[in-house]
Amino acid sequence: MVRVAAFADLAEARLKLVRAGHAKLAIVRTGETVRAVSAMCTHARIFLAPGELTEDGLIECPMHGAKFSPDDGSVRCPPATTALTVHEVRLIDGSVFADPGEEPVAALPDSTKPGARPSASQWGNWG
Amino acid sequence: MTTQVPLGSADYNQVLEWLYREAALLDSGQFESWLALMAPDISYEMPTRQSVYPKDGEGYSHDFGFFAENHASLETRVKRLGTEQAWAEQPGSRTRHFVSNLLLDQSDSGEFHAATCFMVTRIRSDLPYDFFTGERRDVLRMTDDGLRLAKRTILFDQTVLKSYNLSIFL
Amino acid sequence: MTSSTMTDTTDFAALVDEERGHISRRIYADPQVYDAEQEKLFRRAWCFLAHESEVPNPGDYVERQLAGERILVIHGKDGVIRAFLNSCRHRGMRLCRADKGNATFLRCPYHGWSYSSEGELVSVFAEELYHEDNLDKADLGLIPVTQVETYKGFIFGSWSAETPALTEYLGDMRFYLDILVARTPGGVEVVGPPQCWEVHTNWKFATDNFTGDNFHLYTAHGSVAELGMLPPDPMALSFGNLIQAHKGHVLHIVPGPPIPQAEYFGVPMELRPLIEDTLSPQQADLAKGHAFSVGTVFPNLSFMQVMVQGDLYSAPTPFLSFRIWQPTGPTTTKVWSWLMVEKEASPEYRKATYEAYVRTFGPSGIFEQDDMENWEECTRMNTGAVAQRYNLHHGMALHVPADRDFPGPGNAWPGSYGERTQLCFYGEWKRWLTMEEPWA
Repeated sequence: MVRVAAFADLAEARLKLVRAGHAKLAIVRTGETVRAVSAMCTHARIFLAPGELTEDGLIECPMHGAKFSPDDGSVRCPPATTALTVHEVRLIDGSVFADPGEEPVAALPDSTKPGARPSASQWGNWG
Repeated sequence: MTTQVPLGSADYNQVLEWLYREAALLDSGQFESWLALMAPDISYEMPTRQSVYPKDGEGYSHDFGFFAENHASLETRVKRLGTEQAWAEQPGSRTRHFVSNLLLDQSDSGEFHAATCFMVTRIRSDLPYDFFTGERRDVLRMTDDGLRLAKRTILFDQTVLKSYNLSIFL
Repeated sequence: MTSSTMTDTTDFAALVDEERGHISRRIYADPQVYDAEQEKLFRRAWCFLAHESEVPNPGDYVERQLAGERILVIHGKDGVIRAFLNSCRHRGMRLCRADKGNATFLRCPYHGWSYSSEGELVSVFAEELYHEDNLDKADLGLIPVTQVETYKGFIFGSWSAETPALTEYLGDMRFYLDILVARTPGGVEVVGPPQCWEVHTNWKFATDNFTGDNFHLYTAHGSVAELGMLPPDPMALSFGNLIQAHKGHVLHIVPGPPIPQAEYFGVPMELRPLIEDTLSPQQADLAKGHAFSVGTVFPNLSFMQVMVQGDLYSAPTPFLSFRIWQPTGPTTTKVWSWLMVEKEASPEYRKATYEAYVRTFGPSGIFEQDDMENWEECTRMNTGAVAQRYNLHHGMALHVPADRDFPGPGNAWPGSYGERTQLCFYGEWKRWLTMEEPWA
């Protein structure tokens, strides 16, 4: 677990971009709870923090409007189709600690695998 | 067969006023309203031009051009300008369409054939003026909603476009 | 081995670090760099002059340029296409002042010296007033472009006798060019004359974009993405390969969606059996599997084979365009853009490909308008002395290993989002500016 913020510095419903080791996380406080998810939208890899939760308590990507639940990272509105990763958070003596999770072995997208082809769903209705 | 429409006649004035209002719409960025002036079968063309000896004609190409538009493609262009990501027009060009020398004829079917000269100045940011001059040959059709442009052929004076893009309508 | 005949102290090699992806802003704005390019690159390399289909008949000529000097590409009465400096040997007069024409003889309007379509001086006004020692007509023919060669209808020229022959210069780029321009028995021909326009940009911003920059689409062309005219997933176009075919000749090749329309670059069904019959099985397979290819024949002949919608309602339609980015100054470029189509194309396909091209590319195109904006403003911001202290950044996907099993020559890296091919281009650029024999 890595210390990422002081609880007192976190404003209600405001997303904060933090680094926990190798991981970049978006953390948000609602009441006495802090949650942490992976910081990049799974659609076009835009940072989701800094920002604010929507009125219905969701994380909204500023670029194309994808929405995610901060509770379980699930997609609530397209165009994203892949959930965010949820990272465990602990509050200890007024400090917020987050689990960076396992460091990924390789961060290269599928398109860099030799011979890889796009899927029909990536192309949507084009053509 | 076409007959000349005399300067100063009611028809002439109506067409001239249409051309002035069209220019005003373009210069004030009211592209949706401008699009509404196009007939559904609009053909909006601008051939390329080469510098050739007089015996070889005026140098316009029938095969290639800078515009070859129909209503769908004009609509697409206008919609694109309505996004905030048409960088060539973000910030927008400040244009001034000067339209003059109207010579008007009317065909047997009632369509107006308008030949005008145009000069369009275009300036963006703090950059020098672009000047575009040439002739327009328009076919205008009277409808229940007023005159509509059925065809425009833009006969440009430049052979090499002296501007980095043609992000405006001429 | 490096050498430089330049008298200034510019270390051109230091301007490009293609290993780490650091490119000096100076290369896009510095007059010394421009002069060095004219001397060491454009007066030596093979440059595209014209396509054979632009001068189909004996006597046909077009005025073009090579390293900024006006030349005539002329179809001789003997059937050979040649290129000459467009300059009379008497007073240097620009012989043909039209962009194109047809002439059996080229007659200078100043004192009437006349040349054949083969470039020979055939008559001189008042020839009887010359002593034979003062006029050797055989020695006063039009100045030929030093080397002129044609590849699959594309006429190239070089001012240098030392530059190796065109086939050697192109190397394995020919494999990929064939897939684009020689995939049917008739090959391609031009659709009309080129569009020409002038941009306040350094020519290398254009080539930088056309080495296979696929990842600018969703931002630079965000307007068309917003209209739904690009695939919804920004990573959909990240597949395929970046390829260094040979030295500075680079391209990308990218698959489209897995539908039949997007095979064979989207060309009409009736042309596809011709492609299978004309190309090698290996080339035909690559054609079948891809929808897009953008690249550059070093130094400044770029191409794009793409499928686009000309408007919101039309189906994606392919077009093939070749363009030259002619440097006219350190920060100015004249663009010449040709549309090409298979000679076997139907009238319907010719019309469709033309409309798709004009509506999307060229200076009025809804895509290319925004590219011009970006290149102008990049150039503008790279001219300042302070700005030039900070290198530009090329670092995407440099750690992706090459695909040793790619079914085509050259080096191929999987994935078309990357800056590898730009660096191949700049590396070759550096070699031409600093080496006596960059082709070695």
